[in-house]
Amino acid sequence: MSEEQLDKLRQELRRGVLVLAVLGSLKQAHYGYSLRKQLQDAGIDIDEGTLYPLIRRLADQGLLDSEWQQGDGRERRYYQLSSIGNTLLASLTSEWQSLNSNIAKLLGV
Amino acid sequence: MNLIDRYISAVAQQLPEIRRNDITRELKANILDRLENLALEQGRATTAEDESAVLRELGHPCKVAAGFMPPQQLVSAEWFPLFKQCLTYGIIFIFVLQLIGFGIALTSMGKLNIVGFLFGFFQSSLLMFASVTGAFYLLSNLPATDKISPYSCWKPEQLPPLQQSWQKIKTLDSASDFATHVFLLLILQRDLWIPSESLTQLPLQFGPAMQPWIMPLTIWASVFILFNVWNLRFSFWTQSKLVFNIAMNLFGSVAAFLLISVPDKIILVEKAHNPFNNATLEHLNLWILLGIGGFCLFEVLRSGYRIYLLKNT
Repeated sequence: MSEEQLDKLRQELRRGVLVLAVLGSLKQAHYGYSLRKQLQDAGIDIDEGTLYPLIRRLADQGLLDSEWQQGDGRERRYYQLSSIGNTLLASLTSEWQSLNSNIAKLLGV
Repeated sequence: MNLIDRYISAVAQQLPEIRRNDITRELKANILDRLENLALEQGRATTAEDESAVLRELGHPCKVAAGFMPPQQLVSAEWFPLFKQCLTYGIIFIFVLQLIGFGIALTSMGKLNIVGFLFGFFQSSLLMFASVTGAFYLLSNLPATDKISPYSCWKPEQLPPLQQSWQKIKTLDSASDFATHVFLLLILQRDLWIPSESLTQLPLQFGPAMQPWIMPLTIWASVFILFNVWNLRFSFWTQSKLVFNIAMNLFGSVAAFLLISVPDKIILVEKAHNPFNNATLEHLNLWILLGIGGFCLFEVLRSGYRIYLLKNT
């Protein structure tokens, strides 16, 4: 398998999980750049061109609350899970655990 | 205007006005955060080169703006197979129409307008492509509440009983057969659509010996046209269709071979500018009829072999 094929499959695998990672990170309030740093520190590297539109899409769906705040002489938009987002995250987390344990059985790991 | 403002302005141009300020305000804040962090890492103030590198990493303004827009497709993946099918049918339909028009002009007025045929085909194809694409764009981008699926009404029982790949009748084959038989019908029954004063002016006329053949051949061509339409609708071979195809082609083959011996089938009306004479015409007729008879015979044998294949698999 070529590096290109592996990269494509890896991206497909990560795409759905990224939503879960972002929702999980936004239990605490974050602005765009601090969220990216938090994900990077957790080993999930996501480029800005993907992350920022994703946050806005989740906010548009009502899963995140957002608020502009002043800090360090500049304004930043902070995002945090909304009550709908919290409920959804709980459901997605249990789905993730179930999927993870089933796939682990199939993979024998 | 610094690099960041130029970048933000370029992104803004690609966004709808209603969301422009909100998105660019946040994007700018994110870029400034990124630069601030870079300055901390490097222990110095960022330069114009640093700004340029950060913006290049972020991506082209069009790409960044597209990321904030809901995905929009000209034709969705769900509609695409049907879209391709409609384009194929459309192009064949236009080709057949143009060919019939070309044939009519040729037989009724003796006009061999190949450039007109190609131009008409090209022009109509473009119009058809634009109309079909427009219709599928609307279907693909309906609001979520009005979404319709092209595959909502189907039953497994309706799928064609294809055992072998050759059973699928290609659309192009049915359409070319259809055009050929329509053209033949128009020639045989030209008395019906060419005014009588123009009819007498035509350089080629059917001879008296040909008259008894016109009605049987007209019926044969008409039945074949209906058969071709049926094949366009249900485009697969079954045993009964193959038997019918044998009968039709057997008739065609016998008729073509018998017509070879009929004298003066087509008579040339003497005209000063006409490059043909009756002897050349007879010679041409012989080869055309041999070709038609041979092809029909090949169809008979092929259909027979296919029946054999169907029975033995």
